[in-house]
Amino acid sequence: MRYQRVCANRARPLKLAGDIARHANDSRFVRTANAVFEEEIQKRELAGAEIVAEIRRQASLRSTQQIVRHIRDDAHAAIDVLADLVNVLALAVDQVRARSAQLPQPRGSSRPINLLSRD
Amino acid sequence: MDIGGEVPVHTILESYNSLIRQRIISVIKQTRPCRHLYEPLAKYLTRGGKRIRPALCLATAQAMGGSVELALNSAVALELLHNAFLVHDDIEDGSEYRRGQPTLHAEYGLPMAINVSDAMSAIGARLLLDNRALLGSELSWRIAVEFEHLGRQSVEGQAMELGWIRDNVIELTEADYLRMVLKKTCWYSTIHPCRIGGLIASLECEADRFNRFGFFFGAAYQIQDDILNIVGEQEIYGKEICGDLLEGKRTLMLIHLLNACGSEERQRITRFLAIPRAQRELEEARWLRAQMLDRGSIKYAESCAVDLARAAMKESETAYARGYPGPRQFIRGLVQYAIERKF
Repeated sequence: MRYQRVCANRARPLKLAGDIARHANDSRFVRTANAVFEEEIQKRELAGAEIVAEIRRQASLRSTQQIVRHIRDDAHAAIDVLADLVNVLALAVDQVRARSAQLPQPRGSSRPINLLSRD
Repeated sequence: MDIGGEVPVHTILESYNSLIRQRIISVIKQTRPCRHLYEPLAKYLTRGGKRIRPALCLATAQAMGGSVELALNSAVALELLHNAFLVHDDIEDGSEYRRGQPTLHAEYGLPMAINVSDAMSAIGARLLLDNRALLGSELSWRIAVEFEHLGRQSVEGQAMELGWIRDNVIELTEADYLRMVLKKTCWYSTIHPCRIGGLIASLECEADRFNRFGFFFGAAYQIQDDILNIVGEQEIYGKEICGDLLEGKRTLMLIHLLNACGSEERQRITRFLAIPRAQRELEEARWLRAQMLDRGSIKYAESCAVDLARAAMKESETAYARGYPGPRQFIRGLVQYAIERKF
């Protein structure tokens, strides 16, 4: 989809040239009208790009709002999940500490190996 | 509504017209304040008019596979906004007649006319809000964006024209005129009605496909309107003849005449355009009209309108490619009707 869009944009100058040629055999007044249109449509396309950007902004805003709304609606459930997570982590820390204490001390060190240490 | 290919344009237009009239009546609440708001509003909106804009919107929706029911709110909102513009336009131009009757401000005075016009815009906005339940958030929001663009373009085009009169700009080209017409008339009268109809048929519709067709159609329509203002019959046309000349409007005919006439005539025209509107005399406007006839300015404008209508028909093949043949044929007929009409 993205690739097609890029290709379509690249093809635009050729398309414009084709559009101008489409009225090449018309009266002078129609050719003037066509030239005015070509000039003005570029402004419109810029405006169109702004509209698309605004739609995307609104869409992303809407999804953010939906996420916030879901979190707000399910606040209690979220707190329970977080509490469980904290308990699991505390249990894991205790177990790692206990394993560390059972390991032999490194040679030349007075301290036991600490599995939780970053050293 | 079924559109057969063989049915004459005015018959189909009248069918659309009837649907639009019913919807207009249903949205106008005949509540208080009735005498000073809803009554003149209803009277004005049911005066008639060609209602080409909503018909174009409905026919495009049908041509692209959508339904009239889904497009009706937006079509009526277009008509309401158009009428609101007309009331303001008549005040700005100092016009006396509209659709064969006194203009709203001539009948009820400026304050009431402005207020009634504001009410038309407000009711139009209500219809666009009602679209949400009918079309969903995304499409109704997209239509609102289209309305914002058409409204903005129209007032910018109107400002260009008013500015040329106010500053007495004489040196104008045909390209300047077409640029002004694109903004003042085409976006809201022809381009956006098609775009909105197309979007209602499918949100995936590439709305830009209607732009060039709408521009050529709208410009042809405007030129024909300018011609009728000078050579039309007041009883049929519904507005005062030569009103544009008295207002000093920069039409295609005026631009042509200024380039075609001799230096003496050019000086006389420049003097006429330089004086305030209230001081311009009908006799002088008639002289200007005679000059336009003698120098071929009217004939030239007629040929430009026909050329543009032909170009619009050519463009309609691209804009409505793969569209349903009945509505497509009606839309092509509408282009023809726009340049052949007498009102």
